[in-house]
Amino acid sequence: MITPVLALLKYDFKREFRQRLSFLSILLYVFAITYLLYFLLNTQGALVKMEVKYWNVIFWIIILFTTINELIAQFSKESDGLYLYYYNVIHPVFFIVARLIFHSLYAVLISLLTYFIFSLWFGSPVENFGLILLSIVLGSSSFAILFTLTTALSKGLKNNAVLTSILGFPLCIPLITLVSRLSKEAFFSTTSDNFWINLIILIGFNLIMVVLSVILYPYIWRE
Amino acid sequence: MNFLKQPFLQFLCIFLLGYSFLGGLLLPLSPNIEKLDYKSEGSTLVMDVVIPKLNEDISMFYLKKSALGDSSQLILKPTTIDKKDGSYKLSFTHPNNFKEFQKGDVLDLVCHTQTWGGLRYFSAFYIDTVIGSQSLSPTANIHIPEKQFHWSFPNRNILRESIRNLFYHVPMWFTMMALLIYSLVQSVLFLSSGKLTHDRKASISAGVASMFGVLGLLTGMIWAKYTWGAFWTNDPKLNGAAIGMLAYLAYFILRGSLDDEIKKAKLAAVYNIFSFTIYMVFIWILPRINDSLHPGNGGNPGFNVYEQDNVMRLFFYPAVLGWIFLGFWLTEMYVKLKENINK
Repeated sequence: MITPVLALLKYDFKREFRQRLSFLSILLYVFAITYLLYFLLNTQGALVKMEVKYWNVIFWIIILFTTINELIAQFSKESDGLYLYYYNVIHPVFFIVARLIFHSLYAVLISLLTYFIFSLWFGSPVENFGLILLSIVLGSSSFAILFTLTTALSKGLKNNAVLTSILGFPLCIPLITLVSRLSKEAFFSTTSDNFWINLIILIGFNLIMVVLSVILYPYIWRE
Repeated sequence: MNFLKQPFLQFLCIFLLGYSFLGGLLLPLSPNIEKLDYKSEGSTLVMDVVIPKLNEDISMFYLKKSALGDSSQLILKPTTIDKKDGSYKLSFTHPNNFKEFQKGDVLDLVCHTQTWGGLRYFSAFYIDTVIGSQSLSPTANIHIPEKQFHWSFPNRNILRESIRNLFYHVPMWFTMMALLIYSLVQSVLFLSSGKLTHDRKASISAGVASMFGVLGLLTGMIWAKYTWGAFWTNDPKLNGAAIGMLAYLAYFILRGSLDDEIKKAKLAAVYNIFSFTIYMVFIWILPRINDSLHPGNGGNPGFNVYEQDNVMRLFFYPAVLGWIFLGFWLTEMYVKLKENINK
């Protein structure tokens, strides 16, 4: 079980390392969108004494859109010929597990970099650094898992970039609510009563999505 | 769903719906305290109370903390009662003076009648400041008289006539849930068997379910405007409903952007299962954490407030059954229509 997954992951990372351009382009995207927001908010005078709740909201919106773009870029890079090759040599469960792990790790990496880029302009009012790291890891991996399935669904369709967002957005509203609530606690030195419930529900959500992806992916694998 | 073809069940569906429509709209509300004005005059609180349509004497008036049960003996009786054809002028020692009441407590006004039982005006007075030197003397033997059976619906302040919306708003959601579960089952059956009839049933029942969802939102919005003051509030259940509607609209867009029947069926079935699961988690777990304005959440009185009333129950359950039957009947008719077109 582990060997094909590891081989696929190794191949993915090697390919990603060879084509550094796509990684850099995502980083450039983060730079551009963060600077755009900074510029826009600055002209409105909204950055003076900005409250942490707005910081939180802007941060998670950037993470969400970055993750979606990154996944669409990843899937559009793979040609139909490569898929045909995968189809012949790998079991779909191994393939989707490898994809979920790869996309989650990739999204977490990008999101951590996003956090540092974001702090450059918007500052970092975080008190509990471990908690914000935890919420970034959980949040970006859950976005990655959700959008992995929706990109897989819309792959090969005419307007797949739009369809990915349409299919994913309604379902990511509960996720972004939970994640932003979790990271809100990072701005205070003490955690509230709901912290553990939120954390458990978020982890449960991720597990449900992983299980569903693994069960359902073999059915859409051939399409 | 072949059993729905029996004329008996179709007749039953029409009968149940007609019964709940007629009864739900025609039965009157029971009398209750309709209008309540109060003003503080020094250390007394004067309440002007209007109780129309009540042709009997009131044996007892008192104020009581909302949170306390019926058996509690801590009540505040008025010092004087002036009666003037249907309206009463009650003067109380001001509730702020008692140390049993804390700041933020909500008091209900209750009066006892022989045939209608205890009439209650919810949240008649809010304690804003506490002076708290006197103490209430517990009153023994408060028996709320047994309510006699009347063909009428409970009359609650704020709700009033809109209580009849219970027979429309709630069954819409029940029907939507039943149809969505049916759609999920058909999607699973399609993935395991590969027969296109299952896919057809899944998509049509999801469509009918969305229609019922929209109707549930509309009836709920009208009710919300009347009781909560706005068409849309940031309530977890409303958000859940809106997200579900968006997810099922996305389901139909996904179906619309594909031509190949088999491929369409497979992708749609997978998305249906995925979104149904997330939707269920969202509407059943998240409202439990956050406070909702809906009954049964965040300290609001639960459904049993309505269900304790036998007359409400006599119309509510038939309405639910009738609407669910109607939902499945519509689905079945659409499926038959689609099959005939395809032939």
